[in-house]
Amino acid sequence: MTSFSTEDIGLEVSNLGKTYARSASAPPLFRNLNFTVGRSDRLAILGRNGQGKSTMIKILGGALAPSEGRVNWRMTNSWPIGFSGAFQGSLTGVDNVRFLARVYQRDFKELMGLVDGFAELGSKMAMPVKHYSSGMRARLAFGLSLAIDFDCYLIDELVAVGDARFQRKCNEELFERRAQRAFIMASHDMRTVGRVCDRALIIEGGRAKMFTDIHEAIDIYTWLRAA
Amino acid sequence: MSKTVRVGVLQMPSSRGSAWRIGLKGAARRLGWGLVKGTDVSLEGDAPAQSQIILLRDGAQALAMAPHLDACVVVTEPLEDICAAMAAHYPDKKIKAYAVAAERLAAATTLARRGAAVVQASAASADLPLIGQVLIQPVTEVAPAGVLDPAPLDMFAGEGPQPGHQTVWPWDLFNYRTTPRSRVAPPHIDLTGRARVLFHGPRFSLPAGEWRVRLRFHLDPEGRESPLKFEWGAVEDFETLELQLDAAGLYEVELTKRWEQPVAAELRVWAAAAHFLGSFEFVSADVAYLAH
Repeated sequence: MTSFSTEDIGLEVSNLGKTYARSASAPPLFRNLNFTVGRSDRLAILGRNGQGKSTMIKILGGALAPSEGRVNWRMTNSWPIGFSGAFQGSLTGVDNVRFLARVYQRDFKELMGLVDGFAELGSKMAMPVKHYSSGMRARLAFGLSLAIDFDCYLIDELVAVGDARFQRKCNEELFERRAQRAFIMASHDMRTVGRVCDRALIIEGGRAKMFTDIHEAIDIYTWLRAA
Repeated sequence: MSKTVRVGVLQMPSSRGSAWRIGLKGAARRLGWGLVKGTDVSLEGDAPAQSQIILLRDGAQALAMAPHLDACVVVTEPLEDICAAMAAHYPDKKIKAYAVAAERLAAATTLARRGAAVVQASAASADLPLIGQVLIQPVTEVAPAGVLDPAPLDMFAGEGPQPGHQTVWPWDLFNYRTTPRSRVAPPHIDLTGRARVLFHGPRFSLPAGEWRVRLRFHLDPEGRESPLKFEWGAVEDFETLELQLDAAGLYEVELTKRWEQPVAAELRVWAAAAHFLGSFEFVSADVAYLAH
């Protein structure tokens, strides 16, 4: 595992575990997970469907409680990009931006300009979010995530957001303009992972392992998917 | 003018090597022959103007030159003495010492099978083909600097490899991808990682024939399938066995391969695909000579 000096550590995860209590004997999705993320670290979370990638991102983002262990952030973190659970559906896009401007103590007009410019929702920003398509919600969530400067961005399957042009725009905003920020990214897209990440956590069958060689992790994940 | 001849002499590693070179020098002088190193001999063109005793540098040179020689002599010693000489020559380089000894011994076996004269280095005199009598001066034995257990080369003891003979190759003769933490116990190999060779070796020369290697290992694939590949042979000619094992336990695999020339034989064990989990532990390996 990569070692950081204490001041370089932006996230410390200790003995983390998650079990969905479907039954008394339900196996853990993962457990005893320990890792740190540096302030400019780019961590991929890899795993086949159902292994716990999105759960991990949600726990890190505070949207889901772990069954055991601790998540200790020492840097500001985004909510999971692509996750729009924080929106109030009865409020319009504009009102959701206003609400988050208050929560994060940002200037509303400035934030609104950034979100509107990025999400390209135009007049749809005046509609209640519950009438948005999933793509529109994701654009709004993505736009808000980028409009508020975070030290670390949590990304759950970037490819799910928008068309090819919009994805290109997301990639540029995230990985080029915010090259010095930390990322934790759950993804099946090995090209992007190989290009932008420098470590990977693979979750499989209740076990998780950290790999400091991203290409080795991709090899292993590719084999797991094919097996 | 009478026909000139070439007699090659291959010496096994020995503390009596100098005494033999002096004896051969005396015989050459008596006969009016030259005493030359194999590296100084050209096999191209006509026969030499003067008959020659050729000191062959190693097994590879001996085997390459043998077809061009009129006679060949192997000067040998008991295996224990060869190992002692190697230990003195390569202190702290055990595998190198074994490999050099095996290379000479495999060549010697091959030359002997082709009719080379085999004489003991400890003899006070020897009657060599075409040369005649060679007198060997007694020398003060130099105590070897180290000890090299002859067991991994015991197929060469006595008359050389005999069908059915089995030799144990301990774990520390093999090369591991990661340096073993312990020098006294076989490494516990974490299979997590890319497809890769887990360990290989020892690349000890074995003479022509049918050879079997048997490997015992403990595997724990931790509930997943573990694709492993085993290879036995040399250079690019290997017998291969591929297995997909999904249960923890003690396993034994055997591979048999025939080669027609001495080769630096090698066992290779691979993780044939990427592994997320699993561990592999070397238990034992032995190599058996099955047939000429």
